[in-house]
Amino acid sequence: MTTNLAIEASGLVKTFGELRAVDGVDLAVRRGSVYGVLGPNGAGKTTTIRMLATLLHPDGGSARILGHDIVAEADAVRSAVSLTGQMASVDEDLTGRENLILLGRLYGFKGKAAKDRADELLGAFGLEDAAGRLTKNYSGGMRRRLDIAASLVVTPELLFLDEPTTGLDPRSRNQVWDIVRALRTAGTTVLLCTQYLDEADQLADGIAVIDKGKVIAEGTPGQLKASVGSATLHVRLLQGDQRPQAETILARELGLVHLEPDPSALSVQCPEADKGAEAIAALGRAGVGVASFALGQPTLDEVFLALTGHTAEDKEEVKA
Amino acid sequence: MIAIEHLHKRYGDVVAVEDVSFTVEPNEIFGIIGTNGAGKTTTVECLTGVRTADGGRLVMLGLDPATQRDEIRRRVGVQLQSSHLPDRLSVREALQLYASFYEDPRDPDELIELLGLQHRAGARYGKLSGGEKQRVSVGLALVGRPQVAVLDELTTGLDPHARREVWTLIERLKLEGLTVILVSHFMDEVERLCDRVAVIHKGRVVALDTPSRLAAHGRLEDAFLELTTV
Amino acid sequence: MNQLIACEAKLTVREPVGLAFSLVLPLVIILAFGLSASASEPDEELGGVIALDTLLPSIGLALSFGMVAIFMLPGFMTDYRARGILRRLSTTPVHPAKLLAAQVIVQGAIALISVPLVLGLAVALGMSFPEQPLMVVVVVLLGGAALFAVGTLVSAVAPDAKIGYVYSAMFFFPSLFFAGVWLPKEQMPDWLSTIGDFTPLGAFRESLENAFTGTSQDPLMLLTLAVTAVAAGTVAARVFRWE
Repeated sequence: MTTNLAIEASGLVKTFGELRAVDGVDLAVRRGSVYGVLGPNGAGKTTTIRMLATLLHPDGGSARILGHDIVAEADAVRSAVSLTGQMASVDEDLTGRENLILLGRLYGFKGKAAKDRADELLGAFGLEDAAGRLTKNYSGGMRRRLDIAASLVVTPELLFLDEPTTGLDPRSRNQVWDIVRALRTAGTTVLLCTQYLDEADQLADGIAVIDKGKVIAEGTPGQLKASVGSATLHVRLLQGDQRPQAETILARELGLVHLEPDPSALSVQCPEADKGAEAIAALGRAGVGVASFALGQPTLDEVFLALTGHTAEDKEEVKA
Repeated sequence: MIAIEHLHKRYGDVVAVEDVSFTVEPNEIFGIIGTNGAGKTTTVECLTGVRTADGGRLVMLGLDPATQRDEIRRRVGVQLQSSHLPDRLSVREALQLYASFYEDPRDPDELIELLGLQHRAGARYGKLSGGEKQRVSVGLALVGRPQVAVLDELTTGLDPHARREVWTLIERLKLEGLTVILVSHFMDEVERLCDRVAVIHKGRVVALDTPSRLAAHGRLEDAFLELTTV
Repeated sequence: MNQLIACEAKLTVREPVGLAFSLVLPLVIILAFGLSASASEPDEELGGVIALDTLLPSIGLALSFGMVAIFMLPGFMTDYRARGILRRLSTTPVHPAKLLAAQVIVQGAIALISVPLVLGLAVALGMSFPEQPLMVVVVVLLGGAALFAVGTLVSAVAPDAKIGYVYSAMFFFPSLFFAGVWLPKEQMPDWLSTIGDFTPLGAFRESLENAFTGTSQDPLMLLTLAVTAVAAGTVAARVFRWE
């Protein structure tokens, strides 16, 4: 039975002793989309993913992955799903190519087919030059790319990516993002867990924010940002020492001004674009030099903090 | 007084650091960014005396890292990538142990609270999440009340809340007089914390300026990508 | 330093399996064999001595010391190396050598605790009290030094716990054979028995036996222990890798 949903979860529950780590999670992820799952550590995110990947049995609720029930048809789920974590699943004492060929053969590719598949992946991930080197000598970015390549030896219909760019430099991150976009174009559904909210913003078609075992917000990045607050006017001055003056003017025009860590930048809530334009003009009239200004929606970071803002006392760690 | 002049370090045929020079001002948060394998970690390892340089001059707090490591160890706290603690040691025990190594350490419990780990203080290291282990690692570098903290991967693996807690902690310590050398990949972190940042690419410093001047009206990340095009 | 020792002691106690093997296993063996009647009577296979007075208690101590020095100590140290703990410590004012010292002290204490436990049980089962108690102490200290030196050497060279275990086993199990644990030395051909006398574990066990029965010590065996202690210790100090 085909459905246009890659993941359908309804009321998922998981308890560890007294702790309800996952307390009624619903999810609906369309096929061929990139879906972000965000949440503070210990919020139930990892446990939810593990249930969906058939690594844990739910204590309540149900879920279907690509039409297959995660409990009753776990094997069918596993054969269509691939999982990458931060822990590399490749052997350090083998070369990149050897690792991919090994996996290919484990998955049933014979001889030359396994080699071809390995070469294909090495090319797609920009690892041809490093293919003959031992994995233990790979840099962090290369290692992460190899790890993702390894999970794609047999192209899965659904890929769980757990924090794929943690610890990578911006260049390597962008390379991984390109890979994720290419996967989506090719029709793979990607479930992305990340602590980098701009990553979710850039890649995800839909996002669920999980906190205290429940989904507390769900929608596209745009919807989530709109739900949290109005747009913000960001201003950067030509001279940082004019900031006090700028602050006074903007406060008069728009309201409470926030001084950014960057000494020449400030921001202020701005419900209408017209008022923003007037405020900028006022700065100009007062002789305050403006280097740049932008009217932006709240960042996803701000959304996240607003949604999950609670003190440390409320946080509890879950160890599955 | 912290300075590096024409640092050169190779491992066999591979040149890890070609020619790196910079100084770090007292009470400054100095960032180092660069692509993987650019030589960032090797540079700070040489500066703290963990590795010996093949060429160039290094000064850490007026001392020579090659010959005066013991004195440097007392005054410089180092957080390294991928180094762990025994699984069965609890968070509190680990910080208390490290506190005992120094003459005038911070109170471990106070530090635990500043790191947001109060509810895990009795938990054993092996049972901590990646983010919690990361925070313990930062704590170990700071518990000795060092003059300089060398931090590599400060907030990797932390969720946005924890990240901010750690950033706030570093800013607070800066007010107390701490100097920080911060190796990072995370542009937001560099923008928020660093007074100046050096971009290292292929073993050389290709740019050194304040984050906002480096970003030059755009995003720091774009400036970084431009500077590190192969 | 005290804090470090206290820490290592806590960590060692939190690994109950290793402790159980090192302390309980020798007791179990003595109990199992010592309860049988033949253990308390002269045994022809052993050349007419009483097993309970000689073989059993010396094997007990050889086992406890061997396991603590050759398995537990390297087990901890190589694990610390592999996980970057030694490297981390080298950025603090405390040199990782102090951690090694703390471990040796803790493991040494455990080994010493096994002495009254093993001998106490043996005496309770009918062992005649050792003829030369002071000599027992001397042999324990000398043998302990030799075995711990070997353990330190294994710790020095093995890059991680897995390989450390292999090195430990490669030393330990043949040593047990040469020490006469699998096959009584009286039943070995002379040349084999002589080789055993020059292995640290073999020399340790024999010398203990001599001290129990009041037989005069073989100076070559004591020399073997001393030489092992010095040689293994020196090499270990030179090649110890902290990363």
